[in-house]
Amino acid sequence: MNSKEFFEELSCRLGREEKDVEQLLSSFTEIMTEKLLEGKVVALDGFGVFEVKKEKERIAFNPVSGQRLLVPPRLVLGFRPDAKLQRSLANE
Amino acid sequence: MNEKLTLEELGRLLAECRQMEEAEAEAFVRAFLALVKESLARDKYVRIKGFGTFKLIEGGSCAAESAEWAGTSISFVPDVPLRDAVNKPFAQFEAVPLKEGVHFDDICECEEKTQGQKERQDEPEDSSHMEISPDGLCVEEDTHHVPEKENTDSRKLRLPWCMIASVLLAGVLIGGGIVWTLVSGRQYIPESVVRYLEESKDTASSSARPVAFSREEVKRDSSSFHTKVSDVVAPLKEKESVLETEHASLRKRETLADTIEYVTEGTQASYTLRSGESLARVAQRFYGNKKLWPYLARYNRTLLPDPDNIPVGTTIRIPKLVPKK
Repeated sequence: MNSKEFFEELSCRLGREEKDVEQLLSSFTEIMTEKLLEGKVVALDGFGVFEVKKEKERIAFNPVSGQRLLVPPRLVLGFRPDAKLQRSLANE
Repeated sequence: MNEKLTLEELGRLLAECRQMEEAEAEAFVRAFLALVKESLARDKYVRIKGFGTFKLIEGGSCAAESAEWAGTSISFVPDVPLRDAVNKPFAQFEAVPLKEGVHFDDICECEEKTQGQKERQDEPEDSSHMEISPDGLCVEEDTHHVPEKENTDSRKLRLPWCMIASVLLAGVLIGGGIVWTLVSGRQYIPESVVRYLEESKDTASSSARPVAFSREEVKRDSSSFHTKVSDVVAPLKEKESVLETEHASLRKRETLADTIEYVTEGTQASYTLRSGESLARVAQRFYGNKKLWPYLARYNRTLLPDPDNIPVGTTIRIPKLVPKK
């Protein structure tokens, strides 16, 4: 399902306009990002956990060009699905 | 730090932000999550613009962590804006290409994926660290195998190149040195060796012949000149002037004169040694070459029991030297 279909379906279910839904989602994302950067973990019951983790700096080697890159450390948003969700999806 | 933020709290915050009712906001979040779930079940793939992409990964080949939902997992790749927003504190860092020979002991060197694999696995790559997906594990493994092989190949190629270069360089240096010593005419090599080399050159290569010839001629010239001069000059007994001319004329050929063996033929003059003079000095004055002093020593061996220690005022005879044929 692509983004357009998703928003159509969501607005249909909520009985709102598509634009409204998009704005809602963007502010939802903003809040989530803000809280994640504060070091909090967003745990959505029955869905999964969003968590920011620090990835250490590393040296990447490109075997084609032979060049080595020092990749800086970064913060990565990870998602860990809930066991319930995984099980329900596996059973279908 | 690791405070958990639940769905309800998120709903409340969203309501505050949008100035709407809490229940409504929460309903939105729930509907959003439910729809993600449903579409995942149906299409195994949901892309939400501005948020990210959820993918259902059904493994099988790779061992799952738990057998309960064997091999099924969900991967989430955040969209670029979300990813950058999360990485905001570290945004000022950039990847830096390293020069050859720069190593860090505390950072492990991991190999980047090859081009083809990168294209295939483009999206999950970014978040592969966080995934529990067993598929991700598989990919990691085979990417580690392929570049290693290439790496050893390149190392194999690199070593002989260096060796060949150094061997060539050494060869050029040694060859250059030999040619220089032969051509420059300085006597770093014993005459017998040079002569042998020249003979072999004469027979072997025609290109080296003119050089050898001219050298031989020069030698002969110098020796004949030397004898001529001494022949003419000896009867005159004008020692000083003779010495001057001989000295001047022979100085240039000094280096060649000692390479020829001489035969002593009668006495040419006699000379009284003054203080501070040695046989080498006398040889330098009469023959223009101080290396010829052994002839003096041999010729005067009755007079001089010890050539290194000669009393002042000793009169020695100076032999006439004729080149050995």
